[in-house]
Amino acid sequence: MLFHAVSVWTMPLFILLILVYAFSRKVRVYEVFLQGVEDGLQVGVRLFPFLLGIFTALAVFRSSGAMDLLLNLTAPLAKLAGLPREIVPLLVLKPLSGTAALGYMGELLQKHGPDSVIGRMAAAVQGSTETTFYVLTVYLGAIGIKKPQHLLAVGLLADWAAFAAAIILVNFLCP
Amino acid sequence: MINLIWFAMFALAFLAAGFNGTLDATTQALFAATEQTVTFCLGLVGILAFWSGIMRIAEVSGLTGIIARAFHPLLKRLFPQIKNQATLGAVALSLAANLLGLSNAATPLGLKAIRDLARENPQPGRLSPAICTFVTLILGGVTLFPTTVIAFRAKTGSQSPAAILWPILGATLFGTAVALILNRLFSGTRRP
Repeated sequence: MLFHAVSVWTMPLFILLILVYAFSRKVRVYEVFLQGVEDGLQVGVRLFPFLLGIFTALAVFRSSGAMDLLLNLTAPLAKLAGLPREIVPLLVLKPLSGTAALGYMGELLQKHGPDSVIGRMAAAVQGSTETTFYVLTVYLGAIGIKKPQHLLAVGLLADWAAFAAAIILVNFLCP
Repeated sequence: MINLIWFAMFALAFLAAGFNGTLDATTQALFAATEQTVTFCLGLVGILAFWSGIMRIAEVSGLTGIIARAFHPLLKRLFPQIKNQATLGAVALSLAANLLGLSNAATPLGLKAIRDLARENPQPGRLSPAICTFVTLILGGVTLFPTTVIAFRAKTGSQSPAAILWPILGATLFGTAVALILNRLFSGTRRP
């Protein structure tokens, strides 16, 4: 319940703090707000090509069955690492597509229960990183950089490090 | 690299589609995705524009500068190249939004911060060290309140939905540390 109260209040307080402080400093809040909005509008439009590129590629990759093929290929890896095989697709999906990973996590929570080992592993993995491809697309897209260079490797390797930590912590904290 | 990945996704997809007999569905999914991108982008434009407006207020009122000063000891180490207080403030606000799990605000604030960082890039159009560090921190995704995951756990009937908070905090901290180290290692060997 404490968590609920915190999560309900943070956003309004965050906005309110900014507005009240500015108003008390005699900032013409509405006019300044409109200036900022124009700025944000431009970023949104500039992001469109980058988003279209990644979303179409993901759509064909998923709907053609290529994604399932990739997921099947990873099944032997699970055995090797001593992981439940249900969890491995999530480790592959998460860096690629946040929504697909969230959907898959939801399925695992429903099927195995959120407090089961698999359920807790899935939730911890889901929360342990940002979606690497999306972050690189959007953040670098916003400043017009097309090549992520070494950041792609940084993102993917850090993802898998975080997944390992998440799985170990779940088993270690409450086995 | 990114060219190869993008090409491979399309090439493998159509190959698999031909093999699985899902060519029709794949083509349909492709054009559905273009429509979805428009819808998604429009939604993003709204929230981006709103937060850009709020951020401008925070900037003009001097609040951004105050927050930058509060985070100064940390930011000085992570971004030694950046001296501009307004830019550091934007970076601090964006990291704070991520930390608090304000997912609606985090991306817009992050984009504002990275655009400020890009403005101070001595070589426009290239990745500066400050931009790399910032993106690395975002990729690490440290959060105190993983709101979405906890909501999913609550919805599926968990006894204590928020119990997952600690493993996630540990994993994101570890992942971010690894990301920062790798960024430092790899940017030394980066092609000019």
